[in-house]
Amino acid sequence: MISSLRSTALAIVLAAAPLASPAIAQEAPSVDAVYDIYARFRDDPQITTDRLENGLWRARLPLAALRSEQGSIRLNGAKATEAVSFAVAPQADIQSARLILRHASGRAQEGTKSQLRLDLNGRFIAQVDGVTERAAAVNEVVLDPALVLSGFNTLRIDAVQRYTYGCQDPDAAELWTDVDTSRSYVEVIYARHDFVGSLADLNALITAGVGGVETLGILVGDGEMNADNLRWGTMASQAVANRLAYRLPEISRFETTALADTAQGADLVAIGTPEQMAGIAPAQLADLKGDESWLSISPSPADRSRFLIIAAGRTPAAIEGAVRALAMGDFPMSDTNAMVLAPSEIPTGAILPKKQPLRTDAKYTFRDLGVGNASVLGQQRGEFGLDFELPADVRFGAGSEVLLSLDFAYGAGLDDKSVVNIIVNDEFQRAVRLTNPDGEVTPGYQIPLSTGALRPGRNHVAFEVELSTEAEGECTSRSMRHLAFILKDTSTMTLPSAEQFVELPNLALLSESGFPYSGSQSAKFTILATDTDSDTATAVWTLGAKLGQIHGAVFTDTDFGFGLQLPDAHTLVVGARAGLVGFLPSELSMSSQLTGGSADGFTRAFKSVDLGDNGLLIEGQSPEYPGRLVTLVTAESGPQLVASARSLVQPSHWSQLNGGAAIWRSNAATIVTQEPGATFEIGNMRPAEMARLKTGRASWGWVLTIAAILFALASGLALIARYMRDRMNEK
Amino acid sequence: MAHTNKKSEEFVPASRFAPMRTFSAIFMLGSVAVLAAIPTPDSVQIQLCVATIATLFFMGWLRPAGGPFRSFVSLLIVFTSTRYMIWRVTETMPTDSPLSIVGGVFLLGAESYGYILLLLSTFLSVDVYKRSPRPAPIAADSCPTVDILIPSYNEPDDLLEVTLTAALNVNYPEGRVNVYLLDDGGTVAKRNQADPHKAAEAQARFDHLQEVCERLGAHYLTREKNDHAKAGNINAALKNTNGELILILDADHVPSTDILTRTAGYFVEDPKLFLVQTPHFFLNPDPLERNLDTFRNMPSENEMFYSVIQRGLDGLNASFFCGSAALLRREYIMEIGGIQGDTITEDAETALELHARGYRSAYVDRPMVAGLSPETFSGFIVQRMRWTQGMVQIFLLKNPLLKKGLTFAQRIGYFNSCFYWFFPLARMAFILGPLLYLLFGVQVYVGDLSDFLMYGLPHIAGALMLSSILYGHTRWAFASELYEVIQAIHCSGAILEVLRNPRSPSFAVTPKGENLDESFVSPLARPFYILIGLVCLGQVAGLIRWFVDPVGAGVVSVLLFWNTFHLLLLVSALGVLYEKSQQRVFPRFETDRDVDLTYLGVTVPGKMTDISITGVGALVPFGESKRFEVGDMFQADARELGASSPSILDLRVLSVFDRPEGQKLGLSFVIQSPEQWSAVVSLMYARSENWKTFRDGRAKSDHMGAKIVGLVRSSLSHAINHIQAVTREARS
Repeated sequence: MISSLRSTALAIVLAAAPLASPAIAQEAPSVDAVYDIYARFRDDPQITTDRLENGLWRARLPLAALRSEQGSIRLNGAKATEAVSFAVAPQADIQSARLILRHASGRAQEGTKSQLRLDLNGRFIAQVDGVTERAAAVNEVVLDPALVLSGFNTLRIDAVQRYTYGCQDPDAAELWTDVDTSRSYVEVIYARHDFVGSLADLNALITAGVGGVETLGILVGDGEMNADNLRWGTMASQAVANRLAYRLPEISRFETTALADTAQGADLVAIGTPEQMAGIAPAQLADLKGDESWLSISPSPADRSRFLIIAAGRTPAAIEGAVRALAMGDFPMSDTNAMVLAPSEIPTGAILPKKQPLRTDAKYTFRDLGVGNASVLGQQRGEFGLDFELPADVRFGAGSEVLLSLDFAYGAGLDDKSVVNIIVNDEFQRAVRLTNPDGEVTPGYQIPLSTGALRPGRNHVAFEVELSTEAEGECTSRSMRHLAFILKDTSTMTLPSAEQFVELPNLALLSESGFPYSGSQSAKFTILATDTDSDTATAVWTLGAKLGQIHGAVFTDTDFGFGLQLPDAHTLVVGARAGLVGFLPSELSMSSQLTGGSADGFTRAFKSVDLGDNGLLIEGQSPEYPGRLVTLVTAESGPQLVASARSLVQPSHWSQLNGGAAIWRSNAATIVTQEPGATFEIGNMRPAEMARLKTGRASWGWVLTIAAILFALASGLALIARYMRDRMNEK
Repeated sequence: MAHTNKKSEEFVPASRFAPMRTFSAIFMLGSVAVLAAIPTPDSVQIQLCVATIATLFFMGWLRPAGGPFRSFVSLLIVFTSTRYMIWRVTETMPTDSPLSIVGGVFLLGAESYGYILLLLSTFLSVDVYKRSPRPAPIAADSCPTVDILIPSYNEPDDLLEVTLTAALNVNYPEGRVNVYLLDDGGTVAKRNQADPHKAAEAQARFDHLQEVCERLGAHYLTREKNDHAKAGNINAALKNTNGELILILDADHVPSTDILTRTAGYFVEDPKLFLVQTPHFFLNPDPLERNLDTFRNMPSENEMFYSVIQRGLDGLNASFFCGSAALLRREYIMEIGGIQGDTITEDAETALELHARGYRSAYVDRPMVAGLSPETFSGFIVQRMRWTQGMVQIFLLKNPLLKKGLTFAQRIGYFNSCFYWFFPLARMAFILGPLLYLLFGVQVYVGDLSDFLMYGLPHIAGALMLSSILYGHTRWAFASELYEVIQAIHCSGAILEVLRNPRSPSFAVTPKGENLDESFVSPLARPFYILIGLVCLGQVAGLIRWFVDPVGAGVVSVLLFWNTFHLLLLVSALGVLYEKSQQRVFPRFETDRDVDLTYLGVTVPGKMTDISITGVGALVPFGESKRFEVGDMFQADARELGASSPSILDLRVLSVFDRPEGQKLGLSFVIQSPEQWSAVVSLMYARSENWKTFRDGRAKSDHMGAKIVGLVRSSLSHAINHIQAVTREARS
């Protein structure tokens, strides 16, 4: 009895004890919270995939991860729309799906039946009350699995908002709805079926969507790592990464001998000779002739829902041919699981990047740039964008202009406030007034814009159309059908001639365009691994995949090698610190701010501190070959190098690269960059432009130099004059 | 003779250093051009603009007289202007239509003219040469014989008598100098011309001047015909004279007594010397000086040439003969067949020929003749048109850049002297160029205001500063522009005439000693009215464009700035074109000298305030009993008054005015003997120190801003008088 009372009392005390503590204390601190001071600074949530106990898979796709813009979705005005897209791989059998939408709207809309309409792939799926009270509303919308398709799916959110039943300003500040993209997500439960597909479907099968490629295993060399293996691995990783387009898988090196244990959940690419592939390849591979190349695709022996691609040959040239065929996105593959390529069928020469920057001194139609006819009809405003990329080392001359020749037309009845604003890279440049009340068809309207508004790398030209019309009264019902504007795809953009010039080091340029390792530049470059360790190779492949993905390039012309013998070319050096044998930046502060030191190049006599968990990326001029850039990626050990490389290639890290050096850990908030201490220039800039650049940098120095030279000349003149006077007057 | 040889061995002519000077200049210009061509971003150009203007103002305040700072400022200005011209050529030339291109080239041509002249001025004037004096030998036998030639055509007898007397008073060993009047007004042809009245006048002149020469001790020469004007007159005389050296004096150029002692020594020193030129000094104001009341304060227009440019040319062995006040070696003149006559500027042409033969020239910067400027604007223009046409003729017929025998430095020097005279065309282009855009919308300049401020402002400030530093003491900034504008219209026509037919101009004698009885508007004013009307129209059109065309407002702002400046100049020119009355024929020279006058044997102390060839002004304190009256007679020792000749002068009181400090007496010389006349001439003209003091007194560059403002105010004030006079005339 006493013991049962004691047990009951103990149970009550234990049960009541948590109630006496503050709520926050009820949650045990996580390991991250204890040790990671950056826990509060996590990035936007990433897409996660979990294996459920019932063998199914659950993918959670936060809306933030599906948009390129940062922050919440802002739906302002009486009528607003936003669309987000996500992909689903063919291997995923969708079992169920739901949308969790967390949103808040302006309180002034209370009681006016404002609403959000949702549709998926053009099919209505739900409407939710657009009005929330003080807190945000959380709506769960269960999606019909049949509506979720393989390939891209588009979720569209339309807001219809009002704050009064009377007449209202459609742009009133009260009309807003914010969708919290971090905590709103699409959740997909799916099963994975065995991999089915032929080589011809390669581009569709290798996808980054739900159930797609998340981990890529590369089997090459069967234990031995040489320059060819390093190059083939890089090309293979690029072959996959370029097809994924916007997302990188986690790349690892696997051995054929232990695949069953290590390659679960990984898609595989195996490269080598038939003998090396013996355990995993189809029997027909053994019949491969000497100079033939082999490509096949089949379920992975370690995970039959994943693929195994084999690129094989009996000679290095044949293997190279197979890898090239795999890397070429548009190589004509057969609709079979395997194909044999004769030497004559093997692609040779450089594989051109999919996305080439525009050439200067050339004219492009908007159609060439991927912009079709764009129109605004029945609305007061609209916006069209023109996106293009310029070479990373482009430099336009002072005073040069890019010429837009716009073919456009607009309807009658517009008043004189109607205008097309032209905004280049978020800076207003010019306005075109639509002045004719009878409407007008305007072919070849010339608009010169200063090239100063353009920048190397990606550029965005926005055409913001504002159509205004006479309104007699606030509540007058009026038709807007006469508001019409069309910008035709025959419009052109003419880029002036430019020169090549870039100042290095510049990690921002590496981040933006991969320069000079993008494969789109004419200059060749070299990738050096400091050792033959698998971790180093994995880091090289990871970086190679990232660099190739920027322009859809494959490094077919790149030299690969080992060691620290720098060639006369831009060189990417990857390796753990131990393998660098002192080849490190001559001076580098490892403080958290990286402000005390400078990266002035490299030295072999550097006493480096332990890098700890940090990855280090640093650029500098080659100590052996002036004018050549050396980019070093290193970490303390092999595993840390791999982890650092995987972190670095994440958009959250990659986009922060700047200056001449950077260190980081896995959390993007830890990345610290440092301005280069010494810079150098490469390019073919004309002396006049170079002078303009140099004088612009040290303006007062230049002014004083001019003054000093003039004074020196004047002093010489005065001495000569004095000598002549003395002689002539016989002094 | 041994002394002469020794001096010759030691002698180092300036010309020996001309190559060094030329090479230095080319090297400097090349270096500066390279620096100026370095392109910069706009931000740096703005910094450069600010730094340049600040430096120029600082240097303007320091006003370095020599040494590296003067050269530095000059090089900085050349740098700035070169940079401006490079920018103008590469960035601002219109290309939109043929008319625009022509207009743009038209305007750029005018600017290029200014730029080239800036370079030449800097080359010549940044470090001008001042010769050390070379007095004539003490021993009479060592002094070369000299003939003083005074060519005359139609000058009044009394004017000639003064000049002849002064020439006879020149200090030089007796027997080694002869004075000749070369009378072209009394030639055989003149005396026998068809018009009996004119023939009689010529005969009377012939007779009278012969008598004057005989009375004074000079020689009278005339010839058969008036061929080749002044040059022919002198050449005819050269056949009848034999002095080793010849001093040529215009009829109105009265020499001081030291003119030979200060110049003949150079010929003894340098056997290859063919010319010693001295400045022309004028006792009376030119039309601008007279009509704007600037004679006492502002340096004469020719000061810049005689005080700076000729000295600069002298350093290059390129100083040239200016027609008068110059000593020449007969031998070399005769070697080229006498004074040259292919052009109407026979003087410069003769010097050019002799320089081309390797002979040398020298320039002595001390005024030793006192002459007369043209009294009227018309006379002034006649004189300037002759100079313009003559120098353009030399440019066309004997182009110094191509003429054999000249050194590079001499080519540059002569090129500068000829090229300068194209200024009327450049000035007209400056005035008319902006009007093309303002009135007709022809784009002559591509750029906006900020560009212009970045490049043009330092260029303008530099050009003004260069003018101020090099010539500031001899030429006021606004005055320089004004002189150019008043000559531009008429001289442009003269240039075009020469360009059409280089041999067409004929020698026109400059009218001297004109009497202006009453104020009047110059008959040459009409073209100015048209030009002012056009500029006003352009101003109105420009203002309208400025308001209605915001895109082109930048260009319009720049052009309006120029147009406004030209309007100010042209309106100011109206002040010059209103001729003020002037009663006195003989110029009066102000002085301040204590003198003792004798009245009925009693010495009366007084102060001589002014002097002319006809009398003096004197201020005498109020006596205890005697008040002087009109008709009273004084006597004075000429040497007491400052003459070099001894004589007792009789002076009659012509006017009496009471002043607080005493009686102001107007005294007239009563000449009764040749000695008295000689003393009076000596009193007025003998001392070159007087002219030097007067000239130096005007050549001051302090308070320049206030002086220029005063000049502008005076110009505008007289322009109003002009307009009122025209209005009155129109009403009547």
